[in-house]
Amino acid sequence: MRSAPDMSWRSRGDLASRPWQGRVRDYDLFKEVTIGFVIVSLLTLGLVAVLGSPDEPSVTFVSWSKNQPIDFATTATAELGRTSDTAAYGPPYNHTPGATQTLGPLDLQSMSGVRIPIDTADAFVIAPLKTLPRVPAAVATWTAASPADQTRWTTDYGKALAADKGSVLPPARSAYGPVPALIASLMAMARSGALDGALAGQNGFYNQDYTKAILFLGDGTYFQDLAAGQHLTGDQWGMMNETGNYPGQSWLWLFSFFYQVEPFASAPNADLLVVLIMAILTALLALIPFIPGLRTIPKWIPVHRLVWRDYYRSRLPISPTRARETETDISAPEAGAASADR
Amino acid sequence: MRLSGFAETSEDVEGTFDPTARALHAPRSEGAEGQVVEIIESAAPGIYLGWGAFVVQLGNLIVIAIMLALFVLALIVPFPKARRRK
Amino acid sequence: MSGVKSAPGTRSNRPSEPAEPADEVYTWTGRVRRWLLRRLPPEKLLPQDQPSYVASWIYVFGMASLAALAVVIISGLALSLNGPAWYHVSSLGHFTNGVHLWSVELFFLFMVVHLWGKYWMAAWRGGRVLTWITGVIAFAVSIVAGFTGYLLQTNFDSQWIAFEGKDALNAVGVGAWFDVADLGQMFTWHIALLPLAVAAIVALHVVLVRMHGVVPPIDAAETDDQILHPGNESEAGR
Repeated sequence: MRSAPDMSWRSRGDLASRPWQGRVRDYDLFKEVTIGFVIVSLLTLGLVAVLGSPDEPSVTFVSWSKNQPIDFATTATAELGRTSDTAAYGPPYNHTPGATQTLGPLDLQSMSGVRIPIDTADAFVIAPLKTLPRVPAAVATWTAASPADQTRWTTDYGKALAADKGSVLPPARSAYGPVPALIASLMAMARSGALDGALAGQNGFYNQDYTKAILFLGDGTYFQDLAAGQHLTGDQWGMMNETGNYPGQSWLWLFSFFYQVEPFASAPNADLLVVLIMAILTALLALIPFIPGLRTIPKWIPVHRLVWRDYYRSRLPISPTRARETETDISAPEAGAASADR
Repeated sequence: MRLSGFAETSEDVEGTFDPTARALHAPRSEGAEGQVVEIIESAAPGIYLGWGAFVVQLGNLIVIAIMLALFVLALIVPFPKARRRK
Repeated sequence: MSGVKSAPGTRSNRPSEPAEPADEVYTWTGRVRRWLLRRLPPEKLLPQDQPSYVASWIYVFGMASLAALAVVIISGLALSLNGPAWYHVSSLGHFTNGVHLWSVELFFLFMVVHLWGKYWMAAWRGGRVLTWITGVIAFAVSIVAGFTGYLLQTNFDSQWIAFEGKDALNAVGVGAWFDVADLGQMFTWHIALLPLAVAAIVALHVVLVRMHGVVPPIDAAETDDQILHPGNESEAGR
């Protein structure tokens, strides 16, 4: 009796470990590669010709400020007041106590430190306004003010915006300080397209870094609502989906699944948990050959009998001549080897 | 940096490589040339099928169904016997 | 070691003399050559036959995945050579983008069916565990490559994926160095580093298959007719 299960990965000098010396058939590797390539290419071209591909145009600050001015103003005010999601994110954008995703003592988010420093008030509002040919006087008022004043102004103006159900900015009041003027200027910049440019071009002439623009967009409701409309948000299996009717990433089904169920759906450290779980599961997939039970399922559920049915059908000789030859050829059978079904 | 009119807006912003400019002027735009319309709002979001917490997009469902179908067919459909070499 | 050695520093261009064995090695290069030729002689690397049990349609999906990968790379090359804005403004560009998208869908579709087949065949048997592991790694690295590709679309989808993707990466502390909203960084990953990684892992995977051969059926035994009476089914007269 073999002491080891024969579903092992080990090379034990058994039949599976040795080069195959049995019956063969012709095989043309290059021909198969060529045919395969032609067929797959034709299949691809056919799919493209019939179905095309999606290309939803990007959201810009132009469209945001035009379509949802109050949401834009509310977000800009939160950036000024440093209360937005980005301002409270923590590393790598800023130092915010308690903001990181942790699992007990494990705090990977802090690992990198603040390597992409973003002060939302400056990066998203003040710095763009300073690129204008005539910088609004409100900018100087703001930068000279105390943090307490700044907080008070943005909080009060934020409340006014929250109460604003229309599409016109609330009138300026002394309680709001320079904030209404700043927001109005920023709105005008956004509507003209200058804000898109200013956020992208903060390093001067060249830029490939859209971090600030993406974070600013994401802090608002407009961008997120558009995504929700396309079923792209985390709690809509969004990770798997593509815009329009096109298939997305069906292979991310398990990754998306975790975000739909508790405890992950409402966990503040959901991302950390899900990424760790997926990393472990992927490692397990790679290590299946070492895992007893998991590696033996293919034997218990014999799908392989379909794959190799021709082989199993012809493994025993049928003609009497061959039967006699086989009998004399069999030496003392290896324990277990003589029985074909184990 | 005050700019006139929307048509030139994003493209003429000095010195920035802004692909959004191209997207706004892409031939597929529903708005007339120069009109800044957010096309996303009018785009169909796709067909979704839901059973409780499971909501799957039709495209993805078709891909998954094809994977399963091909797997089953590959196991069932007979494979040609070895061809005799001349 | 017997045999006549050439004078040091000179090449022997005489017809091979029986006294100089071909596998006599005395250099690092020679040792590596001998090792490679033993593990993967030309007949194994480029065979003209295969075991008779390789007779099921499930076996085409590895090759199909490779073919799809080739289409992905070719279409990707066309897209990257024309720059990221091309496919928004050119109908040929839009078509090429479609080829890239659908070949990726086919690549994953075929790869998953290939994975299912290899699992149910327990293809790691007989010392083939590295083939299995490189296959899973190829799958995982392909997913990351696909993710970076989605980030390069320069449209709404890439904006949203960048916005969402940053959370997963920041949560594990790598977002500072892998900034999904930085087009420049993502280009390097998607068109250079990750395709090279996928190609290298896939090449290793294929070489391992050639080295070990296709795994024999579960429960195949020395007493099987195919082993007792070998030969080529394709030859006339069998």
